[in-house]
Amino acid sequence: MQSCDIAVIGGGLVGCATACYLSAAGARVAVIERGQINQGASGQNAGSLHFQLEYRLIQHKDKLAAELEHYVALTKIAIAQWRGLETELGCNLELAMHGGLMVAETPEQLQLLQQKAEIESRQGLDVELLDKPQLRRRAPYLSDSIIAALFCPPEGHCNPRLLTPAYAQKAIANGTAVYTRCSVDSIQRRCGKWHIGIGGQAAQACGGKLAADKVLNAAGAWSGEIAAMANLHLPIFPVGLTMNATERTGPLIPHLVQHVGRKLSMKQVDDGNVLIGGGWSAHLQQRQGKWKSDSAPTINMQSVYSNLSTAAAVIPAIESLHLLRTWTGTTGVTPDQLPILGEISQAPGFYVAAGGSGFTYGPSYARQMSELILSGKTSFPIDAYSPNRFGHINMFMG
Amino acid sequence: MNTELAIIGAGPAGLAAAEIAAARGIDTVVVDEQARPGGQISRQPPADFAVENWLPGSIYKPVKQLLAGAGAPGATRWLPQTTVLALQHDPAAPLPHRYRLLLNNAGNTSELEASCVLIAPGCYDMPVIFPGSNLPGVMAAGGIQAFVKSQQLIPGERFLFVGSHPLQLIVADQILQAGGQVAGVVFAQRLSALWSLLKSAPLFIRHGAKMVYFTRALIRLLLKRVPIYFSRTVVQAHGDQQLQNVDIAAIGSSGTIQAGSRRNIDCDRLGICFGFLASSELARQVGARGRWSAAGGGWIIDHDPWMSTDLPGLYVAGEITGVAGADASICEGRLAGLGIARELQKIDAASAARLAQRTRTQLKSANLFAAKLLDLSYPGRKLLQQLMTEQSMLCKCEEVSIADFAQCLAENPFINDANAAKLLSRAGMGLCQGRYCHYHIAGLLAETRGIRERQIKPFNARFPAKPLTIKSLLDKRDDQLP
Ligand SMILES: Cc1cc2nc3c(=O)[nH]c(=O)nc-3n(C[C@H](O)[C@H](O)[C@H](O)COP(=O)(O)OP(=O)(O)OC[C@H]3O[C@@H](n4cnc5c(N)ncnc54)[C@H](O)[C@@H]3O)c2cc1C
Repeated sequence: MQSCDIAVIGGGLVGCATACYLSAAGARVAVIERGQINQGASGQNAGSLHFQLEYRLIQHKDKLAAELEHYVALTKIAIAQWRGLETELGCNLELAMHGGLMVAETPEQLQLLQQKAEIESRQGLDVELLDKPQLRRRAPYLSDSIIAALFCPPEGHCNPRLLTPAYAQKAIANGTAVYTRCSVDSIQRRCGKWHIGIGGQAAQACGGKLAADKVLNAAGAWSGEIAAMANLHLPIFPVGLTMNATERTGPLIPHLVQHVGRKLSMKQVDDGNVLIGGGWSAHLQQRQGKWKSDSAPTINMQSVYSNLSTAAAVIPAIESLHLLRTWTGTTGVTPDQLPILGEISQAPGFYVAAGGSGFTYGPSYARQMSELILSGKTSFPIDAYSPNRFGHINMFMG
Repeated sequence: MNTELAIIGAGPAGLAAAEIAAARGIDTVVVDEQARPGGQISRQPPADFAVENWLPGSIYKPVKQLLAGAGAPGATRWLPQTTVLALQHDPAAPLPHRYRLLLNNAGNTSELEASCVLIAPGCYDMPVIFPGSNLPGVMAAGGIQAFVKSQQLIPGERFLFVGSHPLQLIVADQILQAGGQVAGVVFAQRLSALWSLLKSAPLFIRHGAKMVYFTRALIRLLLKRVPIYFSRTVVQAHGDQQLQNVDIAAIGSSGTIQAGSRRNIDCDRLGICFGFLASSELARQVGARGRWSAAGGGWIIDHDPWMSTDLPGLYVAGEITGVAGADASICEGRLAGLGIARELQKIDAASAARLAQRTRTQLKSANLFAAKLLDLSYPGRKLLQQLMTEQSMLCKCEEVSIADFAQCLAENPFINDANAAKLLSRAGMGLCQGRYCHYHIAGLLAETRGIRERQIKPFNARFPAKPLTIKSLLDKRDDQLP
């Protein structure tokens, strides 16, 4: 049977980047991916680099007060890592860090921005509240209905089509074995090793099974299914999201644009297309009353209309652009909106990295997870994100 | 608004189904992008054109008969100049709401719900990639024919045709008859291949009219001294802004193009005629099961004997099931019409079976002819790939060259799927959603990775099927339809 030190399940950003760092340190790593590298959320997402606290977090700011403190600390290491990422990976990732604006249209929303700015500044995140005249100068493309915006200089975007493959290429160069069209079907712990049963079109590439000292569950929205194979519960819930892209147009929007009170994210990519998203739902498909987890969510037209009309209300110029395509993706959310990073105490050697704005934070999760897996310690404290904060659900499992 | 049946495409297949649906009292809406029904084969002139002797020849008779009743006000609602942007299936919704179509008519969008949908969108000319294939003046033979048929217009002066499909003889003949010049018709096959079709006795007996039509076109071309070349193909189109001349070269007995044998031919229009690809994008968008057929139109859709797909209430007919021509399309349209009447209980199963019998026999025979024709006219992956040079454009929309694509595959050895290749290379991400490059991407992936085209999943087909402005989409009114 083939064996390795660490089996990484899932060929998304988190899986490929962690494999890259682990193999750079000399570990023997195998990445097992059910379909193609980058076919999950990592290749379908909006590519926003969210550094200021997002809509989804701010909506629950009172409940999440303690957690938000850690979040900004994580943000700071992510910003530093992004600044050097193109150099680190030695390629163009269409990375733009020209700043992000979170806009407000009503006095209540402005108040929310002010509270947010206060939390963020206190934690040392660089943000600046811009009033209407300032906005008119710096973001003349915004609608007249926008009364203020919170500006965060390092925010921006990166091309999701490029980042994960770049990590995969580097991981392979470091000696990682990448098995695509191989799906993990079973996980068992025997004689101190994890035995992974593999199916799918290309299962023969690794003989249908693999033994590993350690396992990293990096299966994104599907990591609950993977954990279940090891007889563990993981509170990760799949969510279907919608994205839209317009035709190419001349330079229009230099910033990442978000809204503090409505679901919206917008940016213009290198090629000139405007991407419009922000968390509008898509239907998860079902088969016999259960989530049909191998199918992309279907488009909910109402989401598309609402998403586009919100976008047009914030940046009116997009109305005249052609909509090129709408697509959907599946991401995983946790009960407290924070990521789950760490080893499950009931199952030594079984690690998880999932949840959160995993495109923005994927490279940082990967760094920390590789350190944790190799040495048991991390350079940045990630205890707040440990799966063991939900430990009670695994009390009788493992 | 809603309806019992929505038919997408008013070509031979859609019209045949509409005729049966009307006869069975099925509430039907027919949607088509063109101004008038007829599809490609019988593309009608605008209503206020008086055209004498429009589409002479007995092979057009069945379609013309279908057209006689089409488009007229009556129980069937006709929506011309209308594009289907989205086709969605909701398995949980009660019947009239089972399928939802989003329609676009000149920037006005509206929704239509239907119990059953027939997708009969026909096919388009297979794009072929070679140096100069992007020059203005290089056209699809089918595109040239559409001009002649519907506008009675010759879109150029001196035409050269290259390809592997005998249709180019017919289009060349139509150009000559309309008063244009034909510089030549270039076939990739050997002369003997064409002969074998022409002298096939069983085909002549059953498909006499079609064979006579081909032969007549050929004779007329020969009488006018139009050179007809065999075992040759296009290697480069030249011109400054606009096509001026074309290099053709010989194909050796092993199927390899002999670069040394170039010959240059002056022309201002080059008609490309290597076959057709099925328009499967809406069927892929809604999630119907299909398969790859390299010779029969690329990605085609699976169906049962009543033309039903694997999705309940969703039917297909015509070229989308495998390119087979108008006769087969009419038969499939009729079967679909009967199948839908059966599902909607407008006819009992026994009567439907009885009525279908004759059509099934006709379909078998039409398919036999179609199979022969495909056998003869499929150029083969080897030839198509020889035509592409490193600099030729694989994806015109996103300007991805063959070399760019090859480099992308080389740098990312873990990619062996069309969608993953699209995501990485951008090929297929543009305005045409891969209609132009999908077929060739499958071929290139299969070749480079040593896999079969039929193992490769097709491009995801995205909403909207054709781009429209965000304003048009947001201005949607639900009470639009007549
Ligand atoms: C539409 C959309 C927009 C988003 N926008 C943003 C954004 O702007 N900014 C941001 O920071 N984040 C964004 N996100 C979230 C972000 O994309 C994800 O958090 C991140 O990509 C997760 O990466 P991952 O590697 O954990 O998961 P994934 O990329 O989903 O990878 C998981 C992989 O596991 C594989 N897998 C599943 N089951 C098995 C099995 N049994 N065997 C083998 N392999 C298996 C899957 O095929 C998949 O490739 C967005 C998400 C979506 C869906």
